[in-house]
Amino acid sequence: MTHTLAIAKRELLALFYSPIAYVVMAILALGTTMIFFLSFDLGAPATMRSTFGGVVWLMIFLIPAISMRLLADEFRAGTIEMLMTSPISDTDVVLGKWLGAMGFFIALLIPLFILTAVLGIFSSPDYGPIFTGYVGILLVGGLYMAIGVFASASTQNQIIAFLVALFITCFLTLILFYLPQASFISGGVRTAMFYANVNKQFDDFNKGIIDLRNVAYFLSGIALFLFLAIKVVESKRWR
Amino acid sequence: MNRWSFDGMTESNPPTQTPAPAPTQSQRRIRFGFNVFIAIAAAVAITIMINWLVYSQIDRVSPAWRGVIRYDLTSTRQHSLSDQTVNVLKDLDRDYQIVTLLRSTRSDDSTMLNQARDLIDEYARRTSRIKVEHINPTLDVARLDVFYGTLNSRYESQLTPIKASIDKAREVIARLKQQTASLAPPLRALSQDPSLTDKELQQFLVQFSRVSSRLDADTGLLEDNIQGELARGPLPVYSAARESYKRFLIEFDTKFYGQAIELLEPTTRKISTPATVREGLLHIIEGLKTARTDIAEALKAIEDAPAVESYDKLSVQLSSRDNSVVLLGDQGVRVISLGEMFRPALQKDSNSAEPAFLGEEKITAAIIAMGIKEMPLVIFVHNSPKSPTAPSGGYSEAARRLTNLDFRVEEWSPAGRTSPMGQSMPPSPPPEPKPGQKAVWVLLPLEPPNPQNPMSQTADQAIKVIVDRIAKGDSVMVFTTLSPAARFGPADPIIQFLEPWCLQPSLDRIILRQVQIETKETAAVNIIRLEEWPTALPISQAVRGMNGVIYAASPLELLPTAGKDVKTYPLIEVRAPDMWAERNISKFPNVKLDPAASAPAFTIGAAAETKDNRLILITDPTWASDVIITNADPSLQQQGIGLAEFYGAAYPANAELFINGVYWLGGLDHLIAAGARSQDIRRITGVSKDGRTYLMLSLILGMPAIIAASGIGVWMIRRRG
Repeated sequence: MTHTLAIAKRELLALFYSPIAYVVMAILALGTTMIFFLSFDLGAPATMRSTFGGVVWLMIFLIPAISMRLLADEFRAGTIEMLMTSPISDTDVVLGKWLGAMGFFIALLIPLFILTAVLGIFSSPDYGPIFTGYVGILLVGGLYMAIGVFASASTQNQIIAFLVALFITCFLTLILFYLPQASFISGGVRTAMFYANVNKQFDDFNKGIIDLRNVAYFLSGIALFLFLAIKVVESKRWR
Repeated sequence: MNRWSFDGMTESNPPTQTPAPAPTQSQRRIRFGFNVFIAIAAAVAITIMINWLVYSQIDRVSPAWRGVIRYDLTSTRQHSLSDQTVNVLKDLDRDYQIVTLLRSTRSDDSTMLNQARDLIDEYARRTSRIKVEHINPTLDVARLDVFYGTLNSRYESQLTPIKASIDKAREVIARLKQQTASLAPPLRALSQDPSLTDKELQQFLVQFSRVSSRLDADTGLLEDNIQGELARGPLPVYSAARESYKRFLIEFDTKFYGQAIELLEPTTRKISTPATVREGLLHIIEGLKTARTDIAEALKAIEDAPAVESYDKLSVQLSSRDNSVVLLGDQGVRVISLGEMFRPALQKDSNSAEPAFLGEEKITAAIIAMGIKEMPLVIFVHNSPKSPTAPSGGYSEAARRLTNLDFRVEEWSPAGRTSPMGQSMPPSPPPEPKPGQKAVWVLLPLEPPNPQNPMSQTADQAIKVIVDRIAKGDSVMVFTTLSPAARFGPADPIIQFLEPWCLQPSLDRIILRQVQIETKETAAVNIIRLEEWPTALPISQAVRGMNGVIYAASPLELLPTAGKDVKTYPLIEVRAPDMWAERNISKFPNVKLDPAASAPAFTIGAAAETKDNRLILITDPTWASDVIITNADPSLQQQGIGLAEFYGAAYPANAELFINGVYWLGGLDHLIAAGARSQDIRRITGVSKDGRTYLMLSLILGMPAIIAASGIGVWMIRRRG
């Protein structure tokens, strides 16, 4: 565990030293604030629902941008050899990278906290759905970050890593939203597709509900993609 | 010591074996790759299995544990079922199925659809007695057809007689076509017979033959119309098809065959009719009579087939193709449209009407009602010549709502009825409930006693009957009307009737309110809005958050009940400034505020209860009338009447309180909706338009700027370090 945390700390600092991180943070702050003010007006419902919903859509593009360099850069620079020859397991490496990126992701949410505070100043919102919304965003972020780590482990090229992660996140959101509406999709398959849609799973959190089934979806998704990333990193040894 | 053999090799040094060749790169890759592939496949399979178990096997978890799996953290627990509903679901002793037929046609529909779907899923989570199926009528066409087939088959046995009568009618019409076609040649021949000199008869025969040959086209059109009617909705409308056949057969029988026989028969008896013509005519008449016998048989089959009202109602409800929810149980089928689940309710803190979500109330009430074998009988008692529950009778909407809720609705007039010919008829005996069925009497405003008006004596007769029925366990809702002569004239039997219930209405007074119309001008108005409700009984608790109105109400006093076997509860209270109870009704609206008769609040509706009976009194005669409950106009203008179903009733509390009152009187307290779940819509306050703009600009520009500055700062620090 100490190795994982050491890698996580190193990664977190590296992210904060990277200019891409600030660009992503600024874009997220701008986008989130614009979405927030679309529904912030005198007499409007005091809720963060639409803001959280918008953030989850923005994350589809922003998280791959954060995660694209996590492992791809190590492969490109050759520093992965050092990691692999050190007494650190591949699992520690992958988990450490993921945790570090998640730490940065939580820092990315600071503008959201500020907006929640603004809402709290001008109304007395129901904090239950706000709390569950944050839980949901963390879980969605965790899943997208795990996808990003897997994509980054698969290639040396950051752009390709970004595109692979973007493709997977778009599949789990856009495609699994529109495809089930096609008439040639049978009922059972449609239900499964709706279930696998990340935004649908996030919906309950946004409404103020914590359903352990939604939590199981995200945790199992995170575990799966991190496992895949570990296997990809392991495969570098014998390829 | 080594032992040497003759070839110079020692026994302790056996010849070395050739080592196995090392696996090649591709062999290693294949082996490791295969292992990784297996591991990944297993991981994916485990992930899918976990999600499948969690999603689909939750039904096997006991309902008590399902509440642990899902936490509703909203302050009003708006995504969870109420305790009332949870208790109802716990006590369910039969299975139900809920099928949603929801499709989104507009963007603002989708929130309502999702809310309805989520609610219904919650029912399935809370009990294993309810199975839920979601069908999108646009996308799931095959499943929709299967569902409609299931609905049809539920009524198969009940529809058999009506289907058989339709088949019989078709069969008879096919025979008529044949018979009539066979009559055409002899008719033509007869009309051309030179011995036939009667011009009128000749003309008739020609016309008759033309009509006969047109019969094919006419029946073809009939069949097309009937096919259209049967295919109009998702469930074939057999009753409409049956009526079409009936109309056709009756018209054909009377206007065609009947008239033909009437015209032809006398001709056969005339001495001047030539023998060949007579023979021909007799042959034709025989054919016509045979046809009439067939028609009579078909009409009898149609008349004998009983209508299946529940199927017809279901067919009409589903044919509108609105988004709806269908509840199926052993006892029947209920349809609740999406529109019924939402109703505009005025939120106090804002100027906009936020739709109140009543889905849970509607669905739970429907589930409870489906478990009730026999709903009470509701009898509207009146003394007007017109039926109050007829379309323009004044209480048609109240009656329609009760009928939709499966109440048996009838009416009775102690003054008798008017026949369709306009003659007065003696009163029929009052309706009787079935054994074991409760009855609720709704005593509509009756004429106050007036020696010059015989109709006003009917109040006595009505009260006598009601007192009799109360003794047998019935309940009554009384609507009173203004009676300016109440102070002076003979004792009002209704007031006397209400005395033992400790209720005393002042029918010689009307509650008015003084309002400012211009700077110094005031006026007295009788229309007063109600926004607050007493909470003594669920009847009025259920309408909190809704608006009601009074139009011509009298004050009502709840007398002390100490030492009496009766309890009273206020149901409707009027609270407004500058109100008083005016006595000089005839001078209205030219009356001024009377401080001596003024009060901040008046009671105009109350409930009373003894050990065996219940009574509700409302001193506004228009409370549940069509003028109020179908009116979408807050000023209750004529043009607003009937628009409530499109725009929402201006004063929905009136109808709700009436229905809840009937439930309470019928002993169905558990059906009284707890009211729309309290809509905790918290709103943003304290920010002006300018303030919002400054805040927005400072955050939109400021936050990215601060982040960029942080980035630059970090970069500079790293550069230095």
